[in-house]
Amino acid sequence: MPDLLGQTTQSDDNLVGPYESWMFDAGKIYDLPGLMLGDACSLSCVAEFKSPIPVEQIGPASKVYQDDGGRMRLRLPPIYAPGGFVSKFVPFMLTPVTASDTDNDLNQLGSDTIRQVLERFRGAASDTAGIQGLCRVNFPILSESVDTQYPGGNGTEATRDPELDPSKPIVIVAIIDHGIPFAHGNFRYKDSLFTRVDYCWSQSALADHAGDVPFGREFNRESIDTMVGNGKAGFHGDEDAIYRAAGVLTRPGRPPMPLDRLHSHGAHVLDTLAGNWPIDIEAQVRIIAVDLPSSSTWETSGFGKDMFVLSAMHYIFERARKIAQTYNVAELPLVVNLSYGYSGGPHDGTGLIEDAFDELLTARRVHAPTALVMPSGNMFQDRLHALVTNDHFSDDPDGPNKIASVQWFAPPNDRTSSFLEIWYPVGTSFSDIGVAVYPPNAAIPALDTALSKTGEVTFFSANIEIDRAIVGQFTIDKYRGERWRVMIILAPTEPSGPDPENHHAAPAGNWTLRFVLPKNTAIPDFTPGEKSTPVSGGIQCRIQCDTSYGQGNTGARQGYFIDPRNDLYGQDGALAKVDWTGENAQGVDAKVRRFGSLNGMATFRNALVVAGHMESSHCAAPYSSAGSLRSKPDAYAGTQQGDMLATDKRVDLSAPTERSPWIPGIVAAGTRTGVTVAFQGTSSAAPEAARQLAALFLKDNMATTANNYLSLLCAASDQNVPADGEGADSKIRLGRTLLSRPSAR
Amino acid sequence: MSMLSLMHGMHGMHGMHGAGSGSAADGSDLAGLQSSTQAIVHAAGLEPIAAANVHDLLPDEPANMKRWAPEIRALLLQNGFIKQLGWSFDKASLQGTVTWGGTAIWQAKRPSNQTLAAQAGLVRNYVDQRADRSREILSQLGSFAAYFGIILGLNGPRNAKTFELLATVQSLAGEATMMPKHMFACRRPDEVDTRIMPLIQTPGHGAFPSAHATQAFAMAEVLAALVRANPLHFPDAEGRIKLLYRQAHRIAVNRTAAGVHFPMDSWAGAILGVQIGRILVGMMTGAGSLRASQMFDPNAAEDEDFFFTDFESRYLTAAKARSVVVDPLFGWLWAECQTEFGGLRPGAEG
Repeated sequence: MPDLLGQTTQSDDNLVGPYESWMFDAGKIYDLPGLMLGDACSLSCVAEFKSPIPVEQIGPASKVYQDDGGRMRLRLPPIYAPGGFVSKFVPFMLTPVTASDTDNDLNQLGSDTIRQVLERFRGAASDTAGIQGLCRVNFPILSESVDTQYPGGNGTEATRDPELDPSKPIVIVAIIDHGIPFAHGNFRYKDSLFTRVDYCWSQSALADHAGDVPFGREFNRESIDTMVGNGKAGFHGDEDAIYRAAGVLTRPGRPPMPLDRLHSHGAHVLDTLAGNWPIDIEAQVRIIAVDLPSSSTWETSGFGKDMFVLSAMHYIFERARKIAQTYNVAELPLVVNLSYGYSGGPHDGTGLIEDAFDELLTARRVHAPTALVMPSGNMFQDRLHALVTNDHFSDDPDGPNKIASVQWFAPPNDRTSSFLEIWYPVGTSFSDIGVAVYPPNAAIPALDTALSKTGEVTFFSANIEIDRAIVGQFTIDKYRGERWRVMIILAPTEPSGPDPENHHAAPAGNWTLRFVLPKNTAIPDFTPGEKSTPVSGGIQCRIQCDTSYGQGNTGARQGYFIDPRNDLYGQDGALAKVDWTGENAQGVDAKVRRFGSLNGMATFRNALVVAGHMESSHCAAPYSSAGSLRSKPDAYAGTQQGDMLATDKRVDLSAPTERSPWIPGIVAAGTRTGVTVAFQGTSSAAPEAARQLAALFLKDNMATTANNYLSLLCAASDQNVPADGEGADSKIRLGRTLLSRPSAR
Repeated sequence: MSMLSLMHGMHGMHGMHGAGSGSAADGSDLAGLQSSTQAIVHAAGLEPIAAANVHDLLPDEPANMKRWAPEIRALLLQNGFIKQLGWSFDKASLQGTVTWGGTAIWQAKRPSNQTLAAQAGLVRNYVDQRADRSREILSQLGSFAAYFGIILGLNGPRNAKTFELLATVQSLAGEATMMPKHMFACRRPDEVDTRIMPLIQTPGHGAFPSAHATQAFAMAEVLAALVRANPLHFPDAEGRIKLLYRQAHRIAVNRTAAGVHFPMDSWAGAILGVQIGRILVGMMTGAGSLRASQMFDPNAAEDEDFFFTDFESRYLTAAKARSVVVDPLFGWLWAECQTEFGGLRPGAEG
C-alpha cells in the first residue's frame, strides 16, 4: 500500500465511507460537541442493495442488534411500495432500545461499532441481496423526536376533502424543505380557515407518539384544521401557539428551529410553489410537505441528509397514493420541489441519492405524471470546482513522472471540518494517479500515496497528522463500486474540541494537492453521453459547501480553490461570467471552473433543473450554477475551440431569483401569515417552475413527455429563447426557456 | 482631561470621559451661573471667615480617591504602575525585555524580515473576513470595555467603578506597549505586502507587540480575578471566564483581519497583557502572582497563526511564580469594584 503517515485502516468494501469514518472516529471530537447529540440519538442511514429488496425481507421492526451491551432497533419509515415496485435503496433508522443505554450515546460510537451494526443489518436483511458496498450514515435523530409508538408501515387511509369537487382534475404539489409553516394563511382556502395542506411530516418535531411516522410528527388536513380553528382544541389562528403545540419551536437543549424566526427557507419556497392559487382552482391543488430537520448544522457536519430526503420522497409518494385512492384512481399527477443540493458528488447522474430518486420517479411515471424539480445551485462564483486535465501536467525534471498541482485555501476561524472530493476519471484506478497533500508552507507532504499498484482494497483511510497530532483524514474509496474517489477532510482551523494534545487545528492557508502521473501516460479526457456513458473528463475536484446558514452559528467558513489563471473579474470590472480558457493566454485552461458547478444532487436526466435569472435583464443571476464541461477540440472530435460539450446534465430552464441588480431577491411569504421577505438564490427559481408545471398538469392529466417535462414548459412559455455562447444570457446558463413570475397572486 | 485625551486618543481612555461626572456645566451654563451668583452673593455678608470647624482631609489616604475625578484617579494609578516598569533592548542579540520592579516579565526576539514575509501570508488569509468583522474592528478603535461588559452583564451606572477599572487597565496596558513598539521598530503588514491594504488607516507606531492584544488580555485577566473573587455572584463563573479570554482573543485577531497586525504581534501582546493583568491583580489584592518570563521568539515558528487553544495551553494554564505587593490606590479601586458584585450578597449590606 502507499506510504502514509498516521494510523491507517483498509477494507474490501466501503460499508463505512469516508464521511462516516471521519465523523465517528478522528473527526468526532471536533464536530460532535457542537451538534447537541447528548444521549440516545438514533442513526439515520441509507443502504443500497445489489438488487431490489422487498421491505418485508429487510427484517421486522423488532429486530434488535446486540453489540457490547449497545442494542439498536431497526426501524423503517413509510415506504412507497405499490404492487410490484421494489427498490434497491432503503432508508432506515437504528434506535437505541432504551434511552438509558449509554453505550448508544453517539459520543461513544466509533466507526468500528457502526461497521458491526451495519454488517449485522446486512446479514439480517437478506441472505442474497447484500449491500452494494455503500451505506451512508446521516445526521443523527435526537431521542426527543423519535416516535416510540410507530409500528412501521404506512398508517391509516386518507379522507376526501369536502371542499374539492371530485369531478375536476387534481394535481398534488409536494415540497421537501426546512421551516415549513403548515398553518400559514396562504395555504388555506381564500374564504375559510380550512387548510389545503393534506399532509405535513415535520421530521424534527417533538414526537407525540401517535404512531404515524418513525420520527417527528405528522400533521394532516384534519389535525391542522383543528389546531388553526376556533373549536375547543384550536388556537384561533394564533400561529405562535400552533407551532409551539406542534413541537416545532426551539426549546432549551434543542437545536435552533427555523419556525422561530419570521422567515424560513421552507416558507418562501412553499409559498412560491403552493401559496394563493386562484380561487377557482385552489381546491384542485393538493399540498404535501416534508419539513426536514433544520439544515443549520448538518450542512457543514459531513453527515449529509440522504436518508431524510429519501424518506421524504417515499412519504410523499405514499401519501399521494392515499389521496388518489380516495378519488378511486391509482395515482394523481405529482410535482415534487426539492430546493436543496450540495457541491460534491460525481456529477454524472450516478450519485446514490440521484439513482434512488430516479428509480422512484420511473416507477411512478407508469401511472401518472411525476416531476422532480430542483435548483441549479448558487455556486457559480464560489471556486468550489476545479478540473485537472492532461494539459495541466508538466514533467518533473527530477524524476520519471509529471506533476499537476491544485491549491486549496482553508480559511482561518473555520470551526467545522472541510471536505474535498476528488473524482478520478472513469477507467482509472486510484493507483494510476498518485496524490500528495502538502500543508501550507510545507516542503514535505503530510501524506503521499506515491505510485502503487498493490492491493485490491476498495476502502482505505489514513489520518493526516502534523507533529503527531491529527489534523485531517485521507481516504480512497470506490464509490458505489464504480468510480474511484479520493477524499481529503480537514479538521477545523479553529477547533473548539476538548483535546488539544492529540487533535490540532488544521493549519489555515493554502493546502497543495499534487497529482503525479508517469510521463508516458495520460488520463482519460471527456466522453459524451449521459447516464450510460458517464462524463469522465480529467480529475474533478469538488469542495463541499461549508457556510454558516441561518441561526445555526456553526462557525463554518467556506474554503475554495486558488488558481492564478482564474480571473475573478472580467475586463468590464464585473464578476467574470466565463472560465479562463486556453485561447486567452498561456494556452492552458484555468483549473477553477464556473461551468460544471451544478447542484451535485441534480445531475441526472429525470430531474428538472432550474437556474435563476434577473427579471430586469433576463440575464443569469451571478451565482446561478451551470452544468456542462468545456473541452478542447482535440479532446472530442467535431467541436469548435472552446465549445461547450453536452456531456453532462445542464440547466433545463430558468425562473427569476432577482428583481434587478439593485433590487435583490424575490418576495414571498415568511413563516407567519402576513409576513413577506425577499430571498435570493436558485431555491426560489425551482418552485416557480414547479408551480407552472403543476398548472400544466391540471390541464393535461396524463402529460407524458419524455424525461423531465421540459418540453411541456417550453411549449407554454412565451419568453425569449436564450442566446448561444456562454454569457449570462446564454442557453448554457438559462436553459431552453425563461419563466416569468406573475406580478400578483 | 485634555492632556489625557491627547495622550490616549488611540489607546483607550475613552471609557473615562463622562464616567461618574453628573454635574458638568457647558458654556451657556457657565454664563448663567455667573449672573445668578453675582445677583445673590451680597446676602452672604462681608464678615471674615472663622477657622474651619470641619473634619480635616487626611493626607496621602487611599480614601481620598473617592474625591478625585475619574480621569485623575486613572492618572494616579497609571503613575503607580508605570514607575515600576522598565525596558531594555539588546542590539547584538536583537532581543527586548520589559521589567517590572526590576524583574523581567516579558522577553522577545525581534522578528526577521523572513518572518515578516511569512506572517504577511497569514494576514492575507484573514482578508476574507473583513465583511464579517468590520463593525467590531471599527468600534474597537477606542474603548472596547463593552465587549467584556456584555459577558459579565455590566451596566454603566451600576458598574461604574468596574468600567473605570477596565478603562484604566486598557489605558496603562496600551501605554506599556509603546516603548517595546519603539524599540522593536517593526513594519506593519501593509508595508510588507501591498495586497493587504488595511481596512483602517495603518497606525503611526510599530506593529510588534500588538497593543490591542496586550490591552484585551490584561482586561480579561483582571476581570477573571474579579469574577473569581466573587464566587457567589455568577452561577456560571467558569464559563464566563472562558468567554472573557475568547473575547480578548477575538479583539486581537480583529486587528489581523483589519490588516494592521501580524499574528505574532498578537502572541507577543497577549503574553505581555496576561503578565500585566497579573501584576494589576497583585497590586489590587496581593493575591495575584507573576509568572516567570519566557523568551518569545517569533522566528522559531515563523508561519504560526494565533489560535486561542494554542495560547491557552502555553500561557493561560502555566504556573505562577512571583508575588506582587498591594498598592493602596489600586486596592481602593478594587474594593469599590467589589461592592458592585460581592457587596450585593444578602447580609453583606451595612
